[in-house]
Amino acid sequence: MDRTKVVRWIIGILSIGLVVAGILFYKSILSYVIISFIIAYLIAPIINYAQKFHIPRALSILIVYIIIIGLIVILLNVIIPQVKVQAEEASKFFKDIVKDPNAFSLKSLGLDGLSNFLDRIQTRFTFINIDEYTQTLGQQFVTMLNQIPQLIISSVSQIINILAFIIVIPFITFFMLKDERRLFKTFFSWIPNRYFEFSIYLFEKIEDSFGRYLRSILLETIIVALMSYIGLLILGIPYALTLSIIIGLTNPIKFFGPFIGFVPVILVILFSPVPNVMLIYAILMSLVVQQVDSNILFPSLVGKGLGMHPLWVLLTVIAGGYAFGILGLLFAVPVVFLIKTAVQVSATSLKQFEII
Amino acid sequence: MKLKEFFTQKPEKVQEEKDLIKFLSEVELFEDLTRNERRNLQEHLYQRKYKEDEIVFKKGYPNVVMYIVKEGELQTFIGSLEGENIKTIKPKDFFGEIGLFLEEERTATIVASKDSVLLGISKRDMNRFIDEHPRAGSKILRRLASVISSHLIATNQTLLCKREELDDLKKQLQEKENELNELKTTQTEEEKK
Repeated sequence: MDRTKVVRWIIGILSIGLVVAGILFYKSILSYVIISFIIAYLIAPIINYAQKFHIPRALSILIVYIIIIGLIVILLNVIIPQVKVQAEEASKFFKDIVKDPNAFSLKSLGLDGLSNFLDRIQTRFTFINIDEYTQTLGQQFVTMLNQIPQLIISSVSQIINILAFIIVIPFITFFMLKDERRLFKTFFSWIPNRYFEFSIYLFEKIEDSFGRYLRSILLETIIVALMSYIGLLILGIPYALTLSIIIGLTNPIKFFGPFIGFVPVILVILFSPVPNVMLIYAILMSLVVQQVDSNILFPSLVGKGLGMHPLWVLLTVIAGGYAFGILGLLFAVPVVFLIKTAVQVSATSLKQFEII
Repeated sequence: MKLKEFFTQKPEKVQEEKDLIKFLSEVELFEDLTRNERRNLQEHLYQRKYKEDEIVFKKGYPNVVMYIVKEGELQTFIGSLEGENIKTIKPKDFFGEIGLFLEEERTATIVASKDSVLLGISKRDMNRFIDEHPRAGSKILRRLASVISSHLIATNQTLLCKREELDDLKKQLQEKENELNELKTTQTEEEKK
């Protein structure tokens, strides 16, 4: 073998080793970088807009930070205590139900016809006890429901350390935002001339579709939560704020989201002093919100949609849920969409650029 | 590390940036821009180095990037690379500007004939810059329109010259044909005799 070839091989192997070592070394902060990137990505348009008026990037980032801190303070002082009180009340409420042996009895619904029917079945088939079934089922469901907040918290905290969230992430985000253009320049300067135009093309195409998707999903979440909040307030259903936040957060989950988000509403209505008829109104309200969301908000914000077959989206959500739990439910579709876009764009443009 | 150092760039980087901003004022397209506008524009430029005989892009590639020549020299080919080059691109010239307006593919192949340094700006960044800085954008677009118009006038002129040449050639051809015909007729008459 040629001597230069040997040297090339050695250098190649060494650099691969270096990259692997680097990944292993920085592995633990990778999630911070990804989260910072997402946050920076969402804030970037504001900073770019401010730059138009000759406001230095560093300054406008600081202003945005101060605003965000202000919002968080408001959140901590106003909304969180309210949510906490509501959540505590709700949880106590569920616990009381669990203690009450007759809570899930169909007889407690106060429908004479149904009660009589149940009694008749009871007398004819002594081995069937419908009431007992519904009671055990209901109790199991409520205990499961009580565990949901803990489940969410534990799965999120697996990834993010709260302290890191407060200190490291704003720091990384700051530099990502401030040196946005320089980071791009450095990144693209590594790419050989032959692939320069292709990489810019790929990057822009992906950014166009995925970036808009990400931003509009965030906006959609806020609008849906707001609409639900107003609806629930009008209906006079208790814990409206907590419920609407849950509805908003679960909304981006394709297909299942609206149903998952609506389960707490059903439970609250059934087990609170609010008349059960409200359930129908609440369902109507949710239907209206969903129709507005899927027919007006989603098309106007996300545009043509994902371009993925509904069945594929459904399977992706299920698979994501199996693999990564609640976070999987939320992020499976965006990640698959991102990969799909990248593959699609490269498939057509690699040929155009005569790379393959 | 002092806080100030943390927030400011390295001196050589600053100098590089200053040079670039100064260079941009010499490019026809950006002549009218203020320093601040040029500084903002500069952030979107990618500096690329090309070796002699390296291809920048080929005819048929998608329109992605517009280039400004900082140093070196490049050749434009419309046909094959062995064919005749149409235009030589010199420093402060730019190419790929058609891509800003048309979605079509590249209409020519550009090859560096000397070691060159190019400043590339992506079509999307350029359009975004024009949108975000309307005042600067209108200046750039006006310049671009005047450049393209003068290209058009020059092209029209050459077209006119070529047409005149063609007419001349046609006339000459006609005359030669007439002469040939006369010769033929005289020849046949002589043969008859």
